[in-house]
Amino acid sequence: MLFNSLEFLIFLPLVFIGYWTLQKNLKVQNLFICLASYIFYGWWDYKFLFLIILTTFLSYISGILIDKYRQKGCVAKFVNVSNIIVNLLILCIFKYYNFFSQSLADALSAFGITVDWVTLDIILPVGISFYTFQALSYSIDVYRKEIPACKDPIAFFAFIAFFPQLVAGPIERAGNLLVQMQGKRSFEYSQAIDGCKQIAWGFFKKIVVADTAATIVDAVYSDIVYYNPTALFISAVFFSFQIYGDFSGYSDIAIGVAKLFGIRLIKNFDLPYFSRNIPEFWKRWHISLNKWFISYLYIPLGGSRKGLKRTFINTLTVFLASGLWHGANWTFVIWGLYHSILFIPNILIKSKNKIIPDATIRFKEIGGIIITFVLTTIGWIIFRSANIHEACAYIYKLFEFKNYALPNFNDVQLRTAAECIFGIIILIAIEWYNRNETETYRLAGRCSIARWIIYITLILWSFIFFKTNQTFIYFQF
Amino acid sequence: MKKFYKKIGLAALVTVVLLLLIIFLVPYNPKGYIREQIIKQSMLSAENRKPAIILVGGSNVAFGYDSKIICDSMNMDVVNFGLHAGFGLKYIIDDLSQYIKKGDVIIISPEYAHFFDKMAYGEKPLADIFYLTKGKLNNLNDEQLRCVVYNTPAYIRANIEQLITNLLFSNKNSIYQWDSFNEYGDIVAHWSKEHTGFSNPSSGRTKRSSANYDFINYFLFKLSDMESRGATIILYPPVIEETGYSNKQPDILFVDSIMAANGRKFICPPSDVVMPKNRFFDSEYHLNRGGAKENSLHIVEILKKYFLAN
Repeated sequence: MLFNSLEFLIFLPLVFIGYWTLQKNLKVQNLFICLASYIFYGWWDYKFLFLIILTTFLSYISGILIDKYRQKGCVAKFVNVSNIIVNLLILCIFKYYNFFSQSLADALSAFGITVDWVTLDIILPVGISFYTFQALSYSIDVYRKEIPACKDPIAFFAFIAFFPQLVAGPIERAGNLLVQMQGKRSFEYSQAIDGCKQIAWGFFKKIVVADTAATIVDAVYSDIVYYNPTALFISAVFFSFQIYGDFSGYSDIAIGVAKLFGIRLIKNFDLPYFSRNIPEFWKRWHISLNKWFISYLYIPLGGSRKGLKRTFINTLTVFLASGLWHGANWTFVIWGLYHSILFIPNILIKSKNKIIPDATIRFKEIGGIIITFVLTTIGWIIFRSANIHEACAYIYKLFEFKNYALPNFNDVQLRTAAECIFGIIILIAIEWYNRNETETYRLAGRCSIARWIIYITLILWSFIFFKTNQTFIYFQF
Repeated sequence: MKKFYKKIGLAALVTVVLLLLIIFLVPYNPKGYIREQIIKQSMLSAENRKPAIILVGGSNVAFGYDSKIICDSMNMDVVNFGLHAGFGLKYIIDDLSQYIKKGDVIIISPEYAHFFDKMAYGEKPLADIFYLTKGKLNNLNDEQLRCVVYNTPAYIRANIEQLITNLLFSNKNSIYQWDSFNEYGDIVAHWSKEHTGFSNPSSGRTKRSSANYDFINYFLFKLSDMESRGATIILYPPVIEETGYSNKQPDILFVDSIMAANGRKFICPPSDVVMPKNRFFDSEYHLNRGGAKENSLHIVEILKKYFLAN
């Protein structure tokens, strides 16, 4: 079920009413939200419910066993490692089997060896990367004694399946979301209103900015040869905002919906395009995934504590893993590698000499902001391209300076581009205005009439720009 | 909680009221392309209309013919009923079937996409014609109604965009307007223009789309129904540009074979109506003047052979 669908418009109020009606009994309330979440997930394909239930069950049992055999360290370790291996194996089979088998076949054919691999017609279950990581983080945290094992299966299943963040994050840690599932929630008016505002803002980013940009981006990427460098340049910038609007919009909707249920999810994006350097970008973009990789990959590998050479390797490993997490294509791996190269100067500079931007973003830092934006946009070209060849062709064409002219868009595309630019300007303006806020955007001060006008305008604008069959980009991960 | 419900309810009410106001205050473009459908319907519904050759399809048909050539060669009235594939072939066929008379020769050239996924149930243009006729569309199924609901935002948006465009560029003429057609219903406004060029999706055969067997069965039923009422039905493949033909191979082969298997073989192979890019105006289905003339001469040749044989 998509957030931007008629089904969800009916689903959400019904679940909201049912959830708060069952407020007095926590177990029943959790069971209700769990079942509602499975309905939400199963709307795509009910057959994959088996997979998420299996992952949840394995992690739940692992937590219990780790706790039970904690005194026998090797048993606890064995359970933890087994859970990690089994869940990653499931993820790898569904996500990477065809990629690796085809890549190996291609590599062998380069040496003149032809193989007839069996590539399987595997459908990627929606959200598998997200809920698998969420489930794994639980068992690892239990093993590390960071959280106690959960003995409430209903709360645990609700924690993994919680529908707002199930298919595209934020990837929650048990220490935040599970704890809330185990505790009583009460309806708070201000939190619910805040949630509605965040939902409206999320839809604006997704529908008005991301989906509008997608029209141009999809057209350009479908025929790079036909479009001139100006069109490609515009499309590259648009894709940067498309992926941001799409993903952060989804996160805003997820966080806003969770607030309606009295649940606080972690912030997943913190104005990443106002980053003044690449390391700061990675503190602001897809925060939940980056924290996951730092906690469960970078630090266990030694982090930055084992010398410069090891730090390089660990950093490279994390970026490559992050790239691969996004999908089964070499473009994602190269994208990860690209960012690791941009990140390396940060490792080389000694801590005492590092210029760490402070929390307050100032206009005079616009140079750094623009450079960081340009660098990430180049990375997004690699990310968006179907293959490395296409990415190279795209970037190469951008440097054909003598061919820059007015973009060869047709009338409809020009109009769409103008609408998109307007939406992007509004997005940047509002985010700049709120750049130093820690909570939800304040789109209008204390004047309630102004607030009403602004939010109703956002809702109407999003409604009018609504397009059918527009999924979220990160669903494919 | 009550305070929350009240606030959300009020916001929803204000939003719905404003949307309804926008729908009524910003109507469909007075010069809009879809308005031509009303004219085409009136051409077919005229009381003393003689049996005619009726060309049916989407914009591929609207752009596809110089009907005067057909009219002069076949000595029959011609009505070009093609307008927009976005109506969905179900609407097109349902709409057509209420106007046919005994003796009509119906030449159907549907874009291949209609037989896959839910294309046959329409896109935004179905919402346009729905609101244009104030909801008086008969025989809409659930999928079509869903299409209208889901495309209502796009309908509103297009009207607002057109209003702003008309205010800012009052002299701008588009070929996609209701006065771009001749007396037969062919689009002719582009005949004096250079072809604009268009992008093709990257070459390489795509995987076959998911066939819509429910619609295919419905389509075959409607064809039989029209035949039983005295019309002659001819299935003519849509003219398509070379790269488009290559890209759509799996879908084209499927449609060709399933129609043949059900006794509705295309009157000529789809490969016979593939033309080079210089015959097209702004898309792989939209012929320019030269292409329309060539296609019209081709269909005349086919019709003569057909009538001779039958």
